[in-house]
Amino acid sequence: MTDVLTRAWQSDIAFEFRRSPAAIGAAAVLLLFLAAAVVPDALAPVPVFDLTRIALRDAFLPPAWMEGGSPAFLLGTDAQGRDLLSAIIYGARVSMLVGAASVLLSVLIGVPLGLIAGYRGGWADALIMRAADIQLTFPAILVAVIFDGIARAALGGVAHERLAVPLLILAIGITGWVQYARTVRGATMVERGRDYVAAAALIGRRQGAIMLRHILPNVLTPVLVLATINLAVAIILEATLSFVGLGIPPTQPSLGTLIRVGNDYLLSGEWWIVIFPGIALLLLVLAVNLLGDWLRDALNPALQ
Amino acid sequence: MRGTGLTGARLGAALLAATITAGAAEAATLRVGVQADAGTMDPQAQNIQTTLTLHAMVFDALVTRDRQLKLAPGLATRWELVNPTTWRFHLRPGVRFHGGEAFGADDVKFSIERAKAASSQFQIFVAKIKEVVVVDDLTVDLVTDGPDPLVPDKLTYIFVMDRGWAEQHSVREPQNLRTRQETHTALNANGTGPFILRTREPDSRTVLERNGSYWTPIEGNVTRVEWRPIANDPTRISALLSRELDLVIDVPTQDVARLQRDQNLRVERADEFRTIFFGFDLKNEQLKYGQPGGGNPFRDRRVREAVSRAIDIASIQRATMRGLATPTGQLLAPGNVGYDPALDARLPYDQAAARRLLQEAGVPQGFAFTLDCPNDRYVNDEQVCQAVTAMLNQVGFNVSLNLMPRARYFPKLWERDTSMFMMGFNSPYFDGMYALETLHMTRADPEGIFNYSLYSNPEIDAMIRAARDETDLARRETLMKAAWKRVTEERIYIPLYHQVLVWAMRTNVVAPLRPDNWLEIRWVKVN
Amino acid sequence: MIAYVLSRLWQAALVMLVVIGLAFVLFTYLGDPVVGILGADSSEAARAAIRSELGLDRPMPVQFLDYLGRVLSGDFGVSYRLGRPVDVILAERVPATVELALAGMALALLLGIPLGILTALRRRSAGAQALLGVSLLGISVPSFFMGVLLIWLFSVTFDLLPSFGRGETVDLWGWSTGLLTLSGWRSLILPAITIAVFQIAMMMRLVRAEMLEVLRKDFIRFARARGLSDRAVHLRHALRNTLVPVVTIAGLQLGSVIGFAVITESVFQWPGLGLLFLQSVAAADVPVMSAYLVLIAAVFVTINLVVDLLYLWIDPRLRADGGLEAARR
Repeated sequence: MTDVLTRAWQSDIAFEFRRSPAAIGAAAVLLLFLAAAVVPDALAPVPVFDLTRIALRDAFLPPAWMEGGSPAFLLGTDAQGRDLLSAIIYGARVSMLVGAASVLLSVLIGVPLGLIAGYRGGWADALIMRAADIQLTFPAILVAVIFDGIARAALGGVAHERLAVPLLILAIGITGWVQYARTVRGATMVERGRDYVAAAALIGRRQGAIMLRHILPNVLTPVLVLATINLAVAIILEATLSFVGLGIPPTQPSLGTLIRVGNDYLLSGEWWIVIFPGIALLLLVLAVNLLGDWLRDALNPALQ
Repeated sequence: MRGTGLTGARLGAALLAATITAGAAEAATLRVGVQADAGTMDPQAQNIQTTLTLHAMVFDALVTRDRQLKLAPGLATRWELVNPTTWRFHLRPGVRFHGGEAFGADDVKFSIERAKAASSQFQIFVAKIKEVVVVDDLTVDLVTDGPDPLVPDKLTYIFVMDRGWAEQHSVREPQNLRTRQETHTALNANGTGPFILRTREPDSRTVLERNGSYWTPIEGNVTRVEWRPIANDPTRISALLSRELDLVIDVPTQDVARLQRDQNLRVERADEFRTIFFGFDLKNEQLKYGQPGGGNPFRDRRVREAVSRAIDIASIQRATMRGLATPTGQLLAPGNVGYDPALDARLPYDQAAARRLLQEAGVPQGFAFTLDCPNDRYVNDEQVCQAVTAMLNQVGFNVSLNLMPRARYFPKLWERDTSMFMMGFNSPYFDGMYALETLHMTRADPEGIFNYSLYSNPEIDAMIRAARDETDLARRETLMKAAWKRVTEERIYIPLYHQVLVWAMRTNVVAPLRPDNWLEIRWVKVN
Repeated sequence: MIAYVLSRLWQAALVMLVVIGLAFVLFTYLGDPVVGILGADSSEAARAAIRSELGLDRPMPVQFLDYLGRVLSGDFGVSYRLGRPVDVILAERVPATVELALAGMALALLLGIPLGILTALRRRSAGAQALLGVSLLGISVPSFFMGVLLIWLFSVTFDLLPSFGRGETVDLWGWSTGLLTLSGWRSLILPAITIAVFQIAMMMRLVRAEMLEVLRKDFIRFARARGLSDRAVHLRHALRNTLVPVVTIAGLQLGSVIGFAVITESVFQWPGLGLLFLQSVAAADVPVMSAYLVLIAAVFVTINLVVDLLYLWIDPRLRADGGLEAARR
């Protein structure tokens, strides 16, 4: 893995990056969100999950620069008196966690299946690709809705609330594996025909080792591009599910949950409760998409 | 392309506005926005407020209410108590159903018996009626099982159907979900009411037209009602703001201020007869959703009092409910028989006192438990429970909040599968006995059927029974007040507030509010 | 070829069986319909009676076989919430969803394809770059947020367009259409835009990528080398070869439109299948939910089947495992 990254870095990619203001901007925004995810306490003015620290007295305060706003709450407060900036920071953390983890899950399922299908061929290939076809019959959003619905019903209230994040990761993750499997399978079939693979097989290397040591590094580039683009999709999916009330519960809100709750106050004049989390979500997704686009072009010079 | 689209739209808007103005002058249409549609047109199948509101336009009951909420003649012109267990009702002559059938004693007997059927949700109102005797075509006797002074009040909920029509369409019993065929009453109705059902598209639109041969002059001038269910709150309010609706009868609290600022709209409010409160598991030795080995501290009255004192009701009233709630210390709203203003003062909000009470009760560190709340049943239920969760945590409790849609919430309560829960309750006939009987008595259905706390105190049971079986109304009220004082001081439940009802309408609409959230369509005027 | 068609059909049948099983299991455990039937204020005895009347107390396998048998004969039972046959309710809701999906789809195709071709051919122009940037914004806005903003802007602030419902509908041989009235068209605008924005952007990007791919192919180079004009190359060769993947994309987009219709219908209270589904989930209306799932599965299986067969028909050399993975999500 590090091997690949170093090699990728030593290519023209660093140069490409410096040349693209969009990529730099996107990376900067993303870094900010990453910081929020890693050390939220350092950035957020108030630890919003600490119930003893929020007071209903402070509810519905407008942003600090508006009349009636308080300097203690830069972006204002929500219906419970939570500092909105802090809620967004913690919410973005949940959104990114769910997005990244579900993409990782998709990769972890999809890549090995793709390797096996591409390298082994035969019935394994047929089986995996049929399963992929079936999965593809349904849009990710419907699959995720159904999956989360099952979990919700099977586990009931509190248990579901505790497991909401892992379940959502699972629900979104299982919808994404097919793309990786198909991409890796295609690339593997190409690599399999190469001389070095044949040579490795000749000197008696085991199939698993060949797949891992020789083929995998060579198919990782498209996987990386796909993963970046899919991160944006996963984050939107999480927000959408949370918006219709199926995703993250309001006690540990993600950006989507914040928007769902805040949507009730759009007409009543407390627009900041929905607009700021909405903008944060938009920025996050846009940054990921920009970076994904750029990465795809940079790694695939033929497209330029 | 974009340019023409917008021009077209503007033109369209102008056209539409023109039609609306022209239309309002001659035929007064009232477009009512509601959060949820009536589930059926069967008058005995669903006891939910919005369903009753729609049905009351199509059907009449024997007894109705006037603007002062006093009982008033409906399909019965007068009634009297013949002996302690027999009520005699004299029916209105010359009334016809929308289908042309004549109304008579037969239909009354049929409808009351229909309300007693297994699939009826109105059994509680007619449970004490043992027998319906047809004396002649315009006289019926209702024989009760023991004295029941509330029979006329309860009958305001029993709408009268035509027996012949019901038999012809095989709907002798309330809409029955066993059958694999469509029930005729799901979409059709034949009443005597002020409006006639014209088209019914469930969840989308129901159109009613004025009954030209109604048995009494209709005060209002509405000739056509469009009933439009819109579940999404912002969408419903947007529709009112953009003049696609004339009246919204369930306005979200946060939108009231904005609607008030709109010059084309008028907002009216009234104290609603619905009290929101918390209850606890008061029976089990060990809380089901509490600390293992922690016992059940809620059985100690001081712990319940600590909960009450930990709640900053003023902030809930101001921030969460936007002033649309009246904080209360008892479970009964003003205007109900048995209400006692002396009981209505809440224990003051006092975190220190709450901590002290916990110390006295032997749980100085508080304890962990789960609070169950619905998220789609009462006004702002989710937000109120979140706020209370934070407040309880601030005095030492360790509360996990469990929010659920009502479809899962109520079965959980039925199973008494809860440690602390939220509930809202209104008294259907302006009388405090219903709440005493169903919420506080030891469970023996129908006594204590909503006693999800499983509270049981023979002494309190006896007090309530004494009041219930008293036929002298003045004495009955005294006994009831005594019972209310006792249960309130026992802090069996922790009341929060009475909801305030808000309707928003265009300025040309006059629609009087009733505290039981009942839209009396006969009184509505569109100018 | 026949074997291929047969294997596709067999696969479709298998998917349907799995979905029916899933629908049954899922909705057997989701919520308790008894509340909806009896209301919250009911007695224990009445609830037990209703449970046994509905067959909810029978063993699970018996309930499933019963369910499967009825589904196969087209009987989805009676809605717990509305008390009417589910197939009738679904049939009433189909026109709304179909008209919304087709409107969204039409916008996506009419704008997405030309824009995609344009940005591919004029790859380096400022306009194409700008369009590409806008399209990135288009795929980054969650559709629910889009809908909320559109209502805020066009219904509330400027008071131009209706914010909910379908307007006046006309009944055409049992199909209630909103396309014959002014208010119907006006009501369609915002939901159609909401559902289409993402699809237009996606379509444009996919068509552009496909077109670029084709333009790089050898036969295009040969065509150019033969001295054919740019115009001829683009229209006769590049476009025709882009058509194949575009058909697949369009099919998949239709699926995605139907999936996202759930969200759009909920925001605009559009009385279609998606809104019905969400309302049914809230009321734990088991028969409607399971029927919706089976119906949607049938729709998707059919779309996939048609796309695959179209694919085969347009270009028999291609088997349905081409390089369109990115479009599939």
